[in-house]
Amino acid sequence: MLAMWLFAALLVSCEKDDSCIDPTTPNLVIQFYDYDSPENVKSIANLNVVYLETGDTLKFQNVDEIKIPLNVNDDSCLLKLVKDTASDMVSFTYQREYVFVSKACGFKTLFHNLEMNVSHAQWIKDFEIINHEIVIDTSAHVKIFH
Amino acid sequence: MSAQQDSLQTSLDSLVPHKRQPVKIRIGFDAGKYIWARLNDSESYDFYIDANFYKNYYLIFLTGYENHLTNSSLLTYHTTGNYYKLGIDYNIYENWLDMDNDITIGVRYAYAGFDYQLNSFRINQPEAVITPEINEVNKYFTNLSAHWLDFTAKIQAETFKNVYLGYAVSLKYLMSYSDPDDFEVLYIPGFFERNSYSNFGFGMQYFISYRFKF
Repeated sequence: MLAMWLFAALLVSCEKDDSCIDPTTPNLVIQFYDYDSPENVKSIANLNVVYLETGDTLKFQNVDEIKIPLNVNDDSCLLKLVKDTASDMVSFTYQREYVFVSKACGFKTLFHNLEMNVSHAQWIKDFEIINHEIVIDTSAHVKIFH
Repeated sequence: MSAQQDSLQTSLDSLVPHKRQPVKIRIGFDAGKYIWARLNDSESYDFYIDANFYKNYYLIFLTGYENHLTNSSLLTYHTTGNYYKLGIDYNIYENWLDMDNDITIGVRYAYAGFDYQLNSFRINQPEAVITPEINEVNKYFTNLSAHWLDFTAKIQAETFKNVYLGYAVSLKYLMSYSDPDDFEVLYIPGFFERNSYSNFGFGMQYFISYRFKF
């Protein structure tokens, strides 16, 4: 009888875990276009994205599209976009919504009414928000012309 | 047994004053879950009563109260509620001599009514650069319910006079559950965690019980 109790106690530890397979918090998708021929994408050889809140940097090479996480703790995200030595300040503002996904995935954040502002522009010549609602990250939200 | 012996036995039975089968009623407590809950900042009180009402058949009623803390990296919530199970067990074990153990298989219909208190959560952002903070929300989701079936195999061994140690395994099939706005039914008292890939669940219980005979 005792042996059976112990055996059963062992069994408890091998229950299958749920793993998260659903999409969670979407990233912001930015595409880079040629200012002189706005129909064409124009890639950037070296691009650094610096998060001003924390000082963390994401580095990209030869990209015409980047997917970057926004700040889920606040209604804004302040970035420095550094192309070679030229650095521009870009701020994004939005309203956050919490959505429950599943037991394995927990909650995600969706971002509404996305707005963008560029200051100290050195290389960004223009921008366009093509989707103010960030609920999925399979297509672009913002176009930057350079 | 030959027909002749059979008729002899029958005539002997009619000579001896009929010995009444004692009514056996057993009350039990899930000690395993009680201790496990205590070790995990939770509470569980789970009781059952069974009665040997006919030959090898038992009528069983279980009830319990839980205050269960779920604390993961994504969610912290409390589940509080009661559950009730009613079913029938069938004893498949032949006792030797005057032993009084049983191995039963049975089915119960179960209902639970419960509330959630979502204490806090952390946003799931796999590629986060700025680490998501914990959101303290203390939001309530009340008047939730679930219905399910338990298919249970149980061993009860008389360890001391009239005192039994029991072990049960259950396969559970969830039939229906509430669908709260902005949340989901996850933990169900008496059922355990619902998983997202099927309506089946698995459970084990360790009982201590006492049987009255009269």
